[in-house]
Amino acid sequence: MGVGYKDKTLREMLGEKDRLFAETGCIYGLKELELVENDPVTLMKFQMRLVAACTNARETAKLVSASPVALQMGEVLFMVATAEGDVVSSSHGLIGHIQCIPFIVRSMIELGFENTDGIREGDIFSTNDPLYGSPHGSDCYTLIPVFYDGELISWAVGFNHIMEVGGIVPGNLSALSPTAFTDGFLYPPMKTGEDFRQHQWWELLWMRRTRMGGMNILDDKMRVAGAMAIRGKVLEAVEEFGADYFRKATKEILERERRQYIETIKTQAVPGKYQTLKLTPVRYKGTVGKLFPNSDRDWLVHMPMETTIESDGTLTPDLEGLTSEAEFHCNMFPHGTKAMASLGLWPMFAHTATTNTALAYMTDYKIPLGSMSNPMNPFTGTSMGTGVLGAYAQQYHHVFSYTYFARGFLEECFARSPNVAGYGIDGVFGDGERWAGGNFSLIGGDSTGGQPYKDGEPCLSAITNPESDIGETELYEFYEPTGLNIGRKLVPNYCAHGKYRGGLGMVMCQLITQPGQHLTMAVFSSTSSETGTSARGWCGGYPGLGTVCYFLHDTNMKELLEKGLPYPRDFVEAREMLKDDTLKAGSVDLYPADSPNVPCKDGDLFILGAHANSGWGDPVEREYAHLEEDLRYGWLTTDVVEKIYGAISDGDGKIKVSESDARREEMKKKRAERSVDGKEWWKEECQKLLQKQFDPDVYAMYADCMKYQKFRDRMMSVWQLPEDYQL
Amino acid sequence: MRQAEIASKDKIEALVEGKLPDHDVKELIRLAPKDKDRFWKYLEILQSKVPWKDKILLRISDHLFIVASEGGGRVVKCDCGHEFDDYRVNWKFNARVYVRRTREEMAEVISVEESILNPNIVEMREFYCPGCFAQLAVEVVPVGYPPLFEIFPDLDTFYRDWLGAPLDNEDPGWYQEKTAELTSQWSKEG
Amino acid sequence: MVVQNEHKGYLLALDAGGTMTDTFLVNEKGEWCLGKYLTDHEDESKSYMGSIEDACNSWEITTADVHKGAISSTYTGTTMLNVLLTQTGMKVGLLITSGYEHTPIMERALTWLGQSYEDVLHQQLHEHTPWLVQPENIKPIRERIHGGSPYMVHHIFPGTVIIPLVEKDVVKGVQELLDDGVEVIGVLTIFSHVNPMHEARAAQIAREMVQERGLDVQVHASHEICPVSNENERLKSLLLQCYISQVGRRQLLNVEEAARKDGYDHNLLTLLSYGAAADIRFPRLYEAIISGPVGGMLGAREIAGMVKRANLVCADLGGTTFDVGVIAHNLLPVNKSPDFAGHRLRLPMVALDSIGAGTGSVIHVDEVTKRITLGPESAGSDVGTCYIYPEITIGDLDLILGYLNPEYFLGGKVTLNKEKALEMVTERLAKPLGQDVYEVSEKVLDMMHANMVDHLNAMLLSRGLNPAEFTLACYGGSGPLHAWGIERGLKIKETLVFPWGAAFSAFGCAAAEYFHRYDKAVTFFLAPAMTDEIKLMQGQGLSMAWQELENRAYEELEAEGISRDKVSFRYGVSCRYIGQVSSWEAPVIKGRVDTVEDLDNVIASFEQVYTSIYPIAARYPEIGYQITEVYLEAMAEKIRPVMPVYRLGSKNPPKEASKGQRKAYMDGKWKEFDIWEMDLLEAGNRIDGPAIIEHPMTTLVIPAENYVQFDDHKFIWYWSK
Repeated sequence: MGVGYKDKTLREMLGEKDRLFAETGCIYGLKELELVENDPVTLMKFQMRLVAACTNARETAKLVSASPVALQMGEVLFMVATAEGDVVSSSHGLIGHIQCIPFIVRSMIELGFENTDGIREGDIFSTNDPLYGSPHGSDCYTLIPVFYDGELISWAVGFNHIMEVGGIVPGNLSALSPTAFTDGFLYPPMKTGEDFRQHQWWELLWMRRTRMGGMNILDDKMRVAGAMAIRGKVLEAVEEFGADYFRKATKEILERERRQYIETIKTQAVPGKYQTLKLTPVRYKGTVGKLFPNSDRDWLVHMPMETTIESDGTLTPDLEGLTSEAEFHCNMFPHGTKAMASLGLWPMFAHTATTNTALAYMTDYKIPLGSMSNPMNPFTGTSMGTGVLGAYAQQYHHVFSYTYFARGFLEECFARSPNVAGYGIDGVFGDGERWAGGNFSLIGGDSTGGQPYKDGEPCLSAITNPESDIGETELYEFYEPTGLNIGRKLVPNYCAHGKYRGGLGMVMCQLITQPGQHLTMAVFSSTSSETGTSARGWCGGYPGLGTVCYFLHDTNMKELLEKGLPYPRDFVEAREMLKDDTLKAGSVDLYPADSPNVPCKDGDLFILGAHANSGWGDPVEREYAHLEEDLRYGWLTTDVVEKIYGAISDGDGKIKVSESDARREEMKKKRAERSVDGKEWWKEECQKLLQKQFDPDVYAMYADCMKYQKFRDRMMSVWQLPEDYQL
Repeated sequence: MRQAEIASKDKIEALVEGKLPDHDVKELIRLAPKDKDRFWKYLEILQSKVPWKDKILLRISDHLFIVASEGGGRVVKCDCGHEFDDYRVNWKFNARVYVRRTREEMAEVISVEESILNPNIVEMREFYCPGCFAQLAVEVVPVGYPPLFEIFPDLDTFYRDWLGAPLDNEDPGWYQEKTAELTSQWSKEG
Repeated sequence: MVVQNEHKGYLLALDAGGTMTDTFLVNEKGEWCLGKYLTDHEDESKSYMGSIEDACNSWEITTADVHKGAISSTYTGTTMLNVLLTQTGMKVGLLITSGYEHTPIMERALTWLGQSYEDVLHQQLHEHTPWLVQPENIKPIRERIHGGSPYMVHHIFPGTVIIPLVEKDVVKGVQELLDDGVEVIGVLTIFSHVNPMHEARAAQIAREMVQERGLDVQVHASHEICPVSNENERLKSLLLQCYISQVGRRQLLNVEEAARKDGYDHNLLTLLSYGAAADIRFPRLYEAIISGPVGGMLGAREIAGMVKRANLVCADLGGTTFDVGVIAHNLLPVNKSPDFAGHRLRLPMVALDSIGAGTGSVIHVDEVTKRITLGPESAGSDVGTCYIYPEITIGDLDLILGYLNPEYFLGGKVTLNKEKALEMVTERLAKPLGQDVYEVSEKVLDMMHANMVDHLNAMLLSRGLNPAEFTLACYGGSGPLHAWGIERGLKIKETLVFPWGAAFSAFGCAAAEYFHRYDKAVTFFLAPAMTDEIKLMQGQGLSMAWQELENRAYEELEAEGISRDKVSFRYGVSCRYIGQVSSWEAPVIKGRVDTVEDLDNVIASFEQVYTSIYPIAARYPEIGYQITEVYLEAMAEKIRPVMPVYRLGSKNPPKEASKGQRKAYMDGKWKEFDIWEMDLLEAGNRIDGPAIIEHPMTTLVIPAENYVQFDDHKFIWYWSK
């Protein structure tokens, strides 16, 4: 006898759901939507009830949290799911994570929880294990089964991204973790509480297995509080509408949303194939080699995606050619990849009143087995898979911006390449007191890329959370008292150029202040200045600029401050001051993105530039009036305006029109002079391929990716390589 | 209807020119459902701006269009009038190409030196129109990387099933990529 | 001077909205009358006088009679809001900690405030607010102060100077700003709420330089405006104070002058966002920017006091929005970081939740998915297709279902076209959904009501309050029209309906208490391992903080002519478990900590607040407590309106009040509703549903299972049979 509908087991219900979708192509086999057809208004009322339940749970519960990440950045999510695990409705927050719930519930069912530990009223289940549904360890889920009349009718779910996960590197995301054993505290789905309270052992685990146990416990309390609030609301809704209605309506909502998405695509897009690409270098060589010999190398991670918008309006994203799984932090299991990728779809067509898992039923991913997105090794490192593979979200922005542009819906283009940048921090104060922290406030507000009708803007939206928010210095610094923020600003010229330029990137600049006995910081990022934010710009605009990370050690900052001399507030100022020797540093570490654990001393400078976004269109077509504004507000400097945009200013911020027109003509002439015909260029590239003139990382990348037939075929046919070509 | 007002041809034209006021753009974004005839209005606007007569089938970049050419072909054409090739061939192969391979070359277009790409692992390719030398695309990839085929539309399905206005020379072959045919020919030519 | 006046006289309160300025006039007997006048945004003194004159007409007296006999006049203007929306504020200069000069442009990435759930997801709609300060008028000043941490003794002490203020930056910045002709200067340094030293010094230098040049440029420092944490929110408050308050004050002084010319001999009062009345010379006038909707809640509280109710859910339903708020134990809960016109401020504001649904809300139907959305687009005063708006609205549904009388809208000033509405609703709602037009119209109303009920419930439950202990107060132009739908969904004790339309807010202004609120950030930790001695030391800190605020209050109130003996105080703290990011406000009876017991009482108050909201599983006393802020409310006496008491008449309404019957559609059926004229009904009358009571300002709908009763104040109680 099962806990499900009419004494069915959850396993039976899940099997039925899978079968019905396979047979009909409709979620739960719902070819007809009776409630939608017969009484759409009542259904809408029901749906709004669930949205309200989730939203209210979030607004109330998030205040319990101890982390600015949860409270200010709102990296918190509350959901209602069907017994089978489909999320019907959710609050705002990290909405990508709704895609993980079906996998987690499936895992619990397949692990046989019904028969072993049992699933009962008052139980609390928890997990953050990537193998079973979480993208990576810092994403923690709490599930409470909702029983009505003895039947498990729904799941109430709380989720948040915690600040410290207890890995080899402090913080919540780490760009250095070869295996699951260095990822930190991972817990597979398990029953952690009964009678609506967590067990004591559960709190002890947090205290022992993470560096910020107290704060993580408060976060856990928050998830429980919110899920319990949702449970109450679900039961109220079942009382009001009836259990039959609840079961039926939740399913119809999903199928209806699936149809809505498809309709939007058919109205706004163009069917066809769209190629996008993201490249990210991973630098491990010399870092962990002695302990992890398989990791003593570098990678150029290759993340291609060919998205087909099918004739029926569904999507087939094909990831073939993706870098193979390896002993690094970038792996991620398929459900995590899909969850992260879905983040790119919300603004493009999935912005309906209820965020739900209908997306999963219209996106047919091709993820090659053995790739870093579908690893065979269950102990593979996944601590930052979300950051690297989350790049698929941006590829969707690219696909849909392109297709909407072609169809004439320019206003819906949202051409951006988001970034995930932050750091973990670990220290011992002067008196021996240990502390730790994790910060990714910079991801709370990305600049956006140029759009086909306007410039990108700084600090406008976030990839992970539609409610973008970078939080307050006065709050973050309170939790990270050794990093005195002497700059939290935009950086002039830090954008990619185009007819419509990208929004300026932002930077944080910290003066390390009285760290005591010991302090290390480790930076992570999903973009790298080695490769930029994406493989291309838009219609002749330049691709976005990646993360910049400086550590300046043994500086003369103390002296500068004492004498009231100028000091740097961003990396451009720091670099210029180093050049003219007004700023001195014993050593300078410049990382193009990720860093290892870097020891910091009093007076050191830590500077992190998040990234800056791409341009749209040919820069020499940018209107002079826009450039005059750029100069007036200091977003661009005169030399850049002249060199890149061919616009000559008179020193008072006015563009001299005839001289500039002439300059632009010259620039076009220069293009004519130094470019070659496609065929000629093709021949040159072919020669390099034949001679295998590659950097070792590029060589390794090609060698790896050409193991996949599709990518190999493309290489072979495009360059007409001999059949026996091997790397 | 308000929809007709919010998405009038004049407003779409202003949007295409980057001159539509913010408030009006917001109204367009909020418009649900969207104007069903948007694509036709868009085509009319685009057609009125190009100096040639070939019928535009689809816009694929700021300056590039897939047009129905007189002989029944579907080719990529720049607004300056330069014709590329059949749209099933990635047009980048028929563009003029300039590749930035050194830090110095990249520094000309990247205005923050810390953000200059690593020339050991990637190059920056600029594709220009051979007719007007407008910059049509920029991509950053390792040497030897196949140029990204940014959009390869399924035109027949689009016109027939999605727009309800089938093109006159439908053929399953229109959705078969032909880039390799060009490179194969080049290879033979030596 | 605003103290208890022995001479009974008139009490004047005006609420100026975007369209109309409403007057609420009370005489010495407690009788009241209303006035209305189109708001004159250029010169509000004209609409102020016009609206009073309109009220005076009904009593056949002159405005001079009223002004000469007025005890007080309270006026909420629209200038500051208008200045913000039309971007016509002062030319602001800003001195800010070096490295933070783009903070006003970055706005913490809060580019979605006030948007609906769908719009927030649709990130193409995110936008930054228009600049309150031009980038070229932002001047960095080098300095940094440390704010401390939960690690306390292990690390740096809060308020420690790490980078001393570079005064020449201030001098240079101010010089440039003054050369550039800025009209006002704001100063903000990071952690100035912990240690205002740098900010105060910079402001002092700026003020001296202004004086040297003989200019009239005010200088505001953020710690003087709101000495609490969060630099972005504090900055918004500072910028608003700079950008709008002087313009606003000018307009208010202008209104006051008009009143004085007419014989008024007191200072004009205005309403602050936290529900207090204050002299228009109040230094932090930006706090008056969001006061309109607060008026209604004050009105509701006043009436609740008269009918001896302490717990109230307030529902203000207008054409465009539905504002809800909760009054528990007579207290108005305060939100300390409210959002306003896309800005997130640091400003105590009466906690109000506003949803974009009113009778003007446009109904959209997605033909494919059959999804129905309400608003946020609103027809406002254009009502719907039944009047002059091109889209169907809730108002159209109210009309075709028979609730609204097409001949008696605004007392007959406007005739609504029922046939047109029916045609349009059929076309745009019923047909796409394949439903009967009346059936579906009723369901859409039901959906809207359910949405409102969800919001009301959320207001209550997020504060741990039990709906069964609450009275629903329904007002606003459309409150009585939809009270029945809201009442049905709430498990509420009872319902009270006010038919005064928009003037209810003006009444609320008249009812406002005279007080100022002061907040101050503090950092006190109470860990379990601490000795009583250490705890008491922290307690002394609390006492000092309150005392500091008291002194400030005495000073400010004295400047407004209120002597110390007329001032009384309410105290409170904001507290949390150590490590938590949010704090919860808890009232404290005694504003001093002399014993450990006093301190325990402070903590007990916090625990009571916390556990009323969250399950036991969310408590964490083992980790200890942190007190983050203290607050003080300093009150002075002010005369308030008295409602006249009528002799209770018969239960049976007078015959002349009856207007016959009309069919209306409810619960899936057409039924005959009795129609009544409200002004002809008397105290004590009971009207049984199904009935509709009409009034020029509103319409009250009573379903078959309900009845209403007019009490001896002629307040309308709405009951189940």
